[in-house]
Amino acid sequence: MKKYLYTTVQRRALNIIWDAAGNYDYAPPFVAFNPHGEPEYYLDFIIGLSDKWFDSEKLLKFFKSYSGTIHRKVFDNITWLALENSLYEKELPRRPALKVMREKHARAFFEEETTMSRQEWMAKNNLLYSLLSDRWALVLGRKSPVLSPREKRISKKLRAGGTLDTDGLIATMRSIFQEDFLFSHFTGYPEEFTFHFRGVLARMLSRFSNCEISRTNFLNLPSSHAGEGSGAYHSKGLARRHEAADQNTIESCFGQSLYHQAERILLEHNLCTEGDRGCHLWYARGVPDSRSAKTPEAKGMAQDAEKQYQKNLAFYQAYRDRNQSTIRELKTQILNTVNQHSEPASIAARSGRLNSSSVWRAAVLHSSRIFERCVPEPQPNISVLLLLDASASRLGAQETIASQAYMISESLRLCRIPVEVDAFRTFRGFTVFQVLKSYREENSRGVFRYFSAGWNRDGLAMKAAEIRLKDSETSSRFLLVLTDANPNDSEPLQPSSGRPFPMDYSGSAGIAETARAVKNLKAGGVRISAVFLGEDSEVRNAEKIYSDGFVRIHKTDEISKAVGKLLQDNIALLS
Amino acid sequence: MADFLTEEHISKQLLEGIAAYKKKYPSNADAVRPKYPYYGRKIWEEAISAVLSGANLLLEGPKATGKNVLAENLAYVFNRPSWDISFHINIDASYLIGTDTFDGSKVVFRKGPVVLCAENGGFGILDEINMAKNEALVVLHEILDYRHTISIPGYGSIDVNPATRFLATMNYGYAGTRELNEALASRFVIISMPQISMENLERLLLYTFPSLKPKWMEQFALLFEDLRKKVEAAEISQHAVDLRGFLDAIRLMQNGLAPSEALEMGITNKSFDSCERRLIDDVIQSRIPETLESRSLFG
Repeated sequence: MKKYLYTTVQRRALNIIWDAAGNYDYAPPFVAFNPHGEPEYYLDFIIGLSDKWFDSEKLLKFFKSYSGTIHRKVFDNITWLALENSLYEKELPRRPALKVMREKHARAFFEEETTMSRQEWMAKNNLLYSLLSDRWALVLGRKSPVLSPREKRISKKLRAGGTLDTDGLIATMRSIFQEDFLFSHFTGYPEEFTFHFRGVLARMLSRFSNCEISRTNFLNLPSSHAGEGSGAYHSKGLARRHEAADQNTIESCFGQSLYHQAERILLEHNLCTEGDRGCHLWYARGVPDSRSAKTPEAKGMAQDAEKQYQKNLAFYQAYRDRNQSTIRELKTQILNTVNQHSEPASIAARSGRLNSSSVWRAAVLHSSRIFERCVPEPQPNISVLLLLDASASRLGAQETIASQAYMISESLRLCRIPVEVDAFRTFRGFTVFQVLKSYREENSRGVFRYFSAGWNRDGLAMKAAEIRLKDSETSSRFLLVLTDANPNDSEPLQPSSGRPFPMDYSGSAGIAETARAVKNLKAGGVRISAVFLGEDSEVRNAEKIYSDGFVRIHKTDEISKAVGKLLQDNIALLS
Repeated sequence: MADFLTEEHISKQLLEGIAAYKKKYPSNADAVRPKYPYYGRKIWEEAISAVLSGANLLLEGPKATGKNVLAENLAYVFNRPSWDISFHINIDASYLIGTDTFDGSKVVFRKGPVVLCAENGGFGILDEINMAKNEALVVLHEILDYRHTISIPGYGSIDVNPATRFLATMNYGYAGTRELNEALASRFVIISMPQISMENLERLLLYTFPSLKPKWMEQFALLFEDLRKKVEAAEISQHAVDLRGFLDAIRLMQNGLAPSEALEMGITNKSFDSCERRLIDDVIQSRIPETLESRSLFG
């Protein structure tokens, strides 16, 4: 079951359900929330107990048997009323606290009554409301509301006993539906669970009764970002433009180069060699700005980048609690790793290892500070460059990557480890490094400026990263790459030694080129690790490029462990 | 304690072995009676066998498996004084073996806990041994292997008393821990400590709180089990599965504090994440009613 798509509130509701079920693999088809959007504790607990005491598959089949009809909502709720009573009786002997939970829920029901407006009263389903009132009044030992003979009959039938099994309960419900609702067409209507507990719809649902168990499919939602690839900025197939015009476009889209033109050309001369001959580099700190964009293309990109920035921020905020928890966890892990491998410094002390050159101080000065004591080095002398693949292949995961990168960056920053976060993409022959957060910046908010577009000439990016690594003043430097290990560029690999003809920069050729660049960087003393975010089919690519220096993650929760492990391995090798 | 071991159905041969050991190595000092007994026949038998055969013991396992409790129990059963040495990242050889110090007129050697334990034939409990850097642990190699000596530069060497045993504990999952180096691990026999079973947890609760009503004893044991399941499902961190905190909370209730407040102090507040605290609270609420008063628990 994918657990990483939940918001904090959803996660809490599910935890209540899983706790009651005693089964953390249970995918509940129902979840209950109160009108304030908080989990409805007791009802969620009952949903969990239904998995513990009944056959969930049979129940689900029963719920499906009338879905799609106009009765669905009422049937769902009265079935849960029956389940509630039966489950309460089954569980109570093993869980005395259930009585208090039930009474608290019943009291909350009547407290909510007093705060409802006339319109809300009118919006209610009278039958269901009467049945709920009767049930909770009974629980609290209060006088029952005035019920019609039909309501009385249904209410009595819904007091399902604790001895009922799944078949017995379903038979009871079928008889109620047939006798009291004249419904007998249990033939499995086209079934769609379509409610999502978010936004307006959630508020609409909560009007129906003061707290409600409703169907949900959020557990099975596909990635909400899938299919957003229409805005990809791919340039493959376009003819090469004039270099000066391309440079203008790049400057419009990503801002001024960090390096003067002469320096930049020198860098290209040194780095854009062999297969990368004719390619260009662009290092920029600028944020695309639609107002100052010089071309329609740059304007479009700047607007999309701004939209993506807002999406990245919103995505992080939606899972803020969990993300903050990940940052704390990662920070602890990094600090521990650094502490374990930091070189201790010696200071003069009154006990410890005797410092023979200071012994004279005892005789002459009567000082007892003639020993040495080890103290850990307070400040780790390492820096990290986090390199993010920002090609269009990442379009479906931009928010996730931005969140992941932000968490890594913040954790390192909180450990006082200088960190720079760069996004790289290749666009019109220019491999662009967008500095989202520099080593010296005091916060990582710029990381949310991440957006994907263009291609990824990974090999050249690896070579170019060396320049940014040198921007750090520390003695040990790590390059940490978040990648799908799938290099792909519109510009071919140029002929070079051992390659008489140009080749497409993709597939095995792109991988070999990237692997070579990684190998050269390593030979130069740079430590490189990768966090692999790709598909199963691309694991082999990651192995070829990074050998064993990568960790694969499937969900954001795993990031702290993955990055912690990579840092631990790398720091251990340094000591 | 002999009665306790008999109740635990420890084999007669091992009980005789313990008696023979105590006769061979009589102790002048009384061993400290542990606060809690360790429950679990299989682990008891493995540990006693290891001690009788002269091996050093490494107890490996997650939080709340009773590693330290077993170590303290062993020292008591074999009637040996114990030295509890907590390991940490900055521990070094001089902390374990001893350091030079100046007494006003001359430099003298101040013995560390490992030397004191080795001289007195004690049981050295090396707590969270994998918290230390491996380099710091190299000094233990000659003590733990067949040489049984401690070399102190400038002061010669000390022979380890044959009654001495070292009992190390470790938990791979704790933050700050690391893999134990192979050379050190090979000098121990290793027991993988299982989680305390529901039955043994109830026995522990009964031993510690004899006046706790059976109905609530079961609920407390189930609460601990629920929290453990949540940790195993990776929904919360290990902070909440703290047996010490759990027992402390019940002790607070015994002293009159409301159960909800006591559990908050002993368990919930061990987590520093508000989201996680909420999840822990939800579990507690499902077992221990908010309105429950401490006086209803005992009697």
